Amino acid sequence: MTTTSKLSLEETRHVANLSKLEYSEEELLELNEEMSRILDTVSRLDNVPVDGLEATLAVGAYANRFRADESGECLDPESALQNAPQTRDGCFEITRIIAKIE
Amino acid sequence: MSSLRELAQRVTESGQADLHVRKSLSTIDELEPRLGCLLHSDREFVEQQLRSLQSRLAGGEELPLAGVPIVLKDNICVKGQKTTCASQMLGNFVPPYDATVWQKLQKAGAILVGKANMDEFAMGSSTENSAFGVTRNPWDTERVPGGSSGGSAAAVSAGYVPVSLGSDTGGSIRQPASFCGITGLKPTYGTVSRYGLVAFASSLDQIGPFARSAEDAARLLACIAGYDPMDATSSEQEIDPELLQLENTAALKGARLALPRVVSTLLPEELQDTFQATVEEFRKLGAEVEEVDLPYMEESLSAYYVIAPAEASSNLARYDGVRYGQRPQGEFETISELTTRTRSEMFGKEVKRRIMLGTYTLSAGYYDAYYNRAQKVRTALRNAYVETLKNFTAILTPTTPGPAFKIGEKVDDPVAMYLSDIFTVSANLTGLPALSVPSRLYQGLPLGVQLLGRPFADKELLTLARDYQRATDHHLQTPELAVHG
Repeated sequence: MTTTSKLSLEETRHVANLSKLEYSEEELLELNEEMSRILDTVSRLDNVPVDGLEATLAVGAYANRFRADESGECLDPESALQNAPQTRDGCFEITRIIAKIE
Repeated sequence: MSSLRELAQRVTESGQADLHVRKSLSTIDELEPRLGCLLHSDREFVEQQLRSLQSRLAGGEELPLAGVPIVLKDNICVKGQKTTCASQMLGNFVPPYDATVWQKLQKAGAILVGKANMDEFAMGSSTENSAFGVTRNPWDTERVPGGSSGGSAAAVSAGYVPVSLGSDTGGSIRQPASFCGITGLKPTYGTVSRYGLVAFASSLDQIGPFARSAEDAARLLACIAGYDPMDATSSEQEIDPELLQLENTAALKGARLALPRVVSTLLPEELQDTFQATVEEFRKLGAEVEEVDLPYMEESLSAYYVIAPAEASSNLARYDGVRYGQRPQGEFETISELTTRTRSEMFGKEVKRRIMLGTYTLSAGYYDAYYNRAQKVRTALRNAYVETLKNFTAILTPTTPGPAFKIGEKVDDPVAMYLSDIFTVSANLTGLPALSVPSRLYQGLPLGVQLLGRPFADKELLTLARDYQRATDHHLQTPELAVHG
């Protein structure tokens, strides 16, 4: 498979949207060019024959490790909230996510 | 230069907890304005630790790192101490818990004197991506210390502390160790718990030591390694107690070292002689160095720059401006706006670039061509390395394709910056242990040589490096401005 590395500006805009990142038009153009260059260099991946190889997702012998379902030490609510930018009544406070029905 | 063992012994014998710490703090005060290695150095916290150590010493405890001053990279959580990852996003973050490595270091008697500067979220090769200022290389303050663990490396090189911790995702311990003329180890994946290390690329990240000698690096590794139920990827492999003090048996004589032929095409012309001289040094010390065909070194860099950003884009999705992180001023109409504005304003340029890359290569339609393919290349790479290591004790390469570069030289060229990782990323992709030891100076600047070994052969690698350091004095060279005790 050959990777087409030239990225369109529209694709870059879409990826920014997926990434929850906001760019000015100028920044987006610059980023588009940089990402295209980076993707060009990573297209070397095509040189390696990989037919029949499994993907290595992580190195080492992994299996799920289970423990008894018992409660143990955990963070108290105050510590859990201490780094939140906004809290109210022991909860994280965010912008309203449900619109008001008039 | 005293070894860690001697430093700890002196504290134990004198019963004086602050024997080395005061000197460390005065060196920090003297040199920090010129170098900028640290993001924080909380003196009240130091005194608090010293009081606690003093009473442990009075109780007759013998600790392997008694009174040893240490610096941690600022992506390692210390309860109650700011941990910023050199990012505005975590500019105010105060962890409510300790990383496992810090718990272990405290138990061993070490005293934290500062948190080190780094590239934001460990993404970078020069520490220039820090949101809070540059760190200068003690050998030449116009140059970078390397990265991403640049502050940790420069702090040891300048003599702030005898040892420090960094994290290595693609070379972030070994490359700055090479640039700063010290010893740095990326342990086998799973040797050291990542609990409390702010995640960048979870299948590649590993915490490891910086030190002035391989012997000290081994002792520090002994104190931080081990299975941890809090990190599902930590290995149950027993920690070799001999790491605390490497046995005397020589290992370098007769060791078989593989020298990949491709090195000569990847190393710039002007550095070939210096590297060749280092290879000859290893031969003189009794190692059999043999050229081998080791494939995929260039492709490993491509695989790395697909896999690491992909994992980063996923890991950094947690910074949504709700549970932690700084939130920009103003009102937000929707939750999406809150998240987008927080991320856009609080992440730096390189971090955003990697999130973008990772999001792209993981997206529908590109996943197979990039991410899945990169993971298969990773398998091919590991097979090739494991095969080579059946016949060799270790693989010998330069650590970096050159010495420390000038501040600002590569900052606008991400592709050139990424190239500084060409010799180091393989160890992360394969999970294998690798270390950098100082070799010859090049135009007055340190250069490192890398040894990469079999799974869990960290001690063997450190012993080879120890033997090299017994016979040579490269690791004893220090920059002029350094203060070493």
